[in-house]
Amino acid sequence: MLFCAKYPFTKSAKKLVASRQIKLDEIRNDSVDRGKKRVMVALKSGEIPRFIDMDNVAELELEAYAVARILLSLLNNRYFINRYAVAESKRASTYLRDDSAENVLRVAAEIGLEGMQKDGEYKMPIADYLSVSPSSKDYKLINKPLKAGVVKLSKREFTRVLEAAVKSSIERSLPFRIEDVPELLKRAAEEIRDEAKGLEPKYEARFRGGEFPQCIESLINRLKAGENLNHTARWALAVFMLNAGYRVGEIVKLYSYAPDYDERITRYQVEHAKNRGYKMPTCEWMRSQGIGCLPPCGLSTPLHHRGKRRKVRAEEKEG
Amino acid sequence: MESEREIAFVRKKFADYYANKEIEFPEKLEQREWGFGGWKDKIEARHFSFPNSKSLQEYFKNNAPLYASYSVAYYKEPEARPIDKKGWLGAELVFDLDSDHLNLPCIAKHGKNWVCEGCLSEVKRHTQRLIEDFLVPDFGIRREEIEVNFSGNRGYHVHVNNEKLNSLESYGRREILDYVSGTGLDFNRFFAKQGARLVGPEPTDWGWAGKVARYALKNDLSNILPRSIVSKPERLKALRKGIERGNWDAVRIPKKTDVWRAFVKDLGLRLGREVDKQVTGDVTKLIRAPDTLHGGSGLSAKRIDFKKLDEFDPMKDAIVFGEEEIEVKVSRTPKIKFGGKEYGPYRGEQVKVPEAFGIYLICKKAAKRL
Repeated sequence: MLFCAKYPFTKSAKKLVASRQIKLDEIRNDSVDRGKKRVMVALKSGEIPRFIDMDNVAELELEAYAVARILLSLLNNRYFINRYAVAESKRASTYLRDDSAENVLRVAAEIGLEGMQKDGEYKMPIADYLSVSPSSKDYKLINKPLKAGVVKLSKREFTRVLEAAVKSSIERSLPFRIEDVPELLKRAAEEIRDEAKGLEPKYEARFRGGEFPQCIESLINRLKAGENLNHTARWALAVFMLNAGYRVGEIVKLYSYAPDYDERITRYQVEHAKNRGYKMPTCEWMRSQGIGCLPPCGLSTPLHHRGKRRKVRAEEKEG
Repeated sequence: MESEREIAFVRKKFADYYANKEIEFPEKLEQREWGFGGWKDKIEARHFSFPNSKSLQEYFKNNAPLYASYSVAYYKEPEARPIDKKGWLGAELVFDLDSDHLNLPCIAKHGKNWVCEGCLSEVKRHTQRLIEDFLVPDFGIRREEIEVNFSGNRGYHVHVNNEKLNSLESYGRREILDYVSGTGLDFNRFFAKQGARLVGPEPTDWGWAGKVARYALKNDLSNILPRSIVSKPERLKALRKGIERGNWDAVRIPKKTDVWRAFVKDLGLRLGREVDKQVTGDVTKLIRAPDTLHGGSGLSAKRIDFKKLDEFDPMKDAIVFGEEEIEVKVSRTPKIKFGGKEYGPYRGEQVKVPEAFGIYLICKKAAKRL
């Protein structure tokens, strides 16, 4: 029970909740309150605090998690979902850090990741590692001890990788379709909508429509809508901006829309892309990645789009 | 079109070849997308799929494509378009090693359109390093999961068929490419100062750390170390002994941090500019089908047992056409070694050459049929 309350996204927790066979209209007032609070605090502070008296509230907490997922599905707002996923994964991480190796590995297994531990040293098969590792320099494969298909990690690193996995799995699993929702839950969702007004990012972009090729504009709009763009999309957007002559600072600001925005990491990544002097991929490549213009714009590279600010950097490089 | 005669000739030859050739097609054939090319473009039409090898063999017999490529990806519906409707199921991990990526000095001599023995042996060395230094020891890939073929022109393709890696998305693939090409290596993570002493990796360390130490022990360091050390064997020996224990300061080297930083920077495999690498990280890429002909050379993209890679000479072993002489008018070419003989350099002359070499020149767009 305690394990399930700490890690409510695991298979065991889902099984436990399912075994209760609680119907939607049987959900207690208490749980709805707690669920609503869980969402609100995540949206406001980006974190969900852990309980000192977890033993006493474990059952309620588990229900609160289920309620939070229902509420987020009702709200159906990408930014809210993604910000919640960040907070939920951080919460899990704080428990994992203090937990036994046995439980850490159990969490990994229950979210579909292989792991091993010996003498405090953790290991993860490379395919699992690369499918979830955070895209920051500390987790870049080349700087990690790798041998025979296995990456060696400290406990802190291992839990950080699990955190990233939890985040993306929550993001992917929400919203779900839900019918015949009782008033109590609908009301709670409405309350969140009211209270969370103004919590969405308000960064007034200097990037206005019309200035960019459609593929880039659509990436910016998706980012603004709070979508957690995948690595390829983020990378392509940054490379475009760099090649179009935008400064690192401006580009970093643009990413502040992302629900997992971290200024330090974003700056590092944009600077890294700049230092490597990435050239803009072709329109065909953009299409192949599912981020091209639809219908196709007919250009060869997004940089040829008229109305872009300037192409100075790109031209300097060519010369 | 002035090349019509050449196109017809090459097509006829390719058709003869495919009429009698049973091609060994890739695993999961029915889940692959195919693309074919002609004289102008390597891929002129794509989104083809074939339910079985018989239908594909038919296609080759009837159409004799100048280029044939298939998707590294497997799809639920390989012929659906656009790509996101295909239903991506996974993709082989493919490395594209091209001598053109290696920035070799000989390019200045023979130009980009041609390869020399130097180019081919250097790209082969890279291919072997990819397998022996990276794929097998670090990534734990079993040899039976690796397949190597000549690209048909200037390099090699390495296909890795590992069920778990097949599901990686492009982020993970790019990380693997960065790993093998030494991109993003963080020097400060591997080297540290203990007081004034430079402490670094040991040869037994995992990953790049151990690699850096092992390369330092194995590689010729005369280009990077000052002469005062290189010229004295006992100092080199002391340096090596130190590195074996992670002490990179056993011998005094002026500006040591800069020296080792420069050394570390150049250790990865050269896989081309970033844009080329993006293509390799592309999970929807089409790649030359092994054992098919390359329309830019008339050579076969031959599968190679990589235990025998050492002896493989594409300019001999990938030749499929015959010895019968044909007459061609050759424009400008450097000296070329083909089928064990040397030809050229040519400066716009009419010559009689073996058919295989004639087709090579015509495919390179350096000769006309007479």
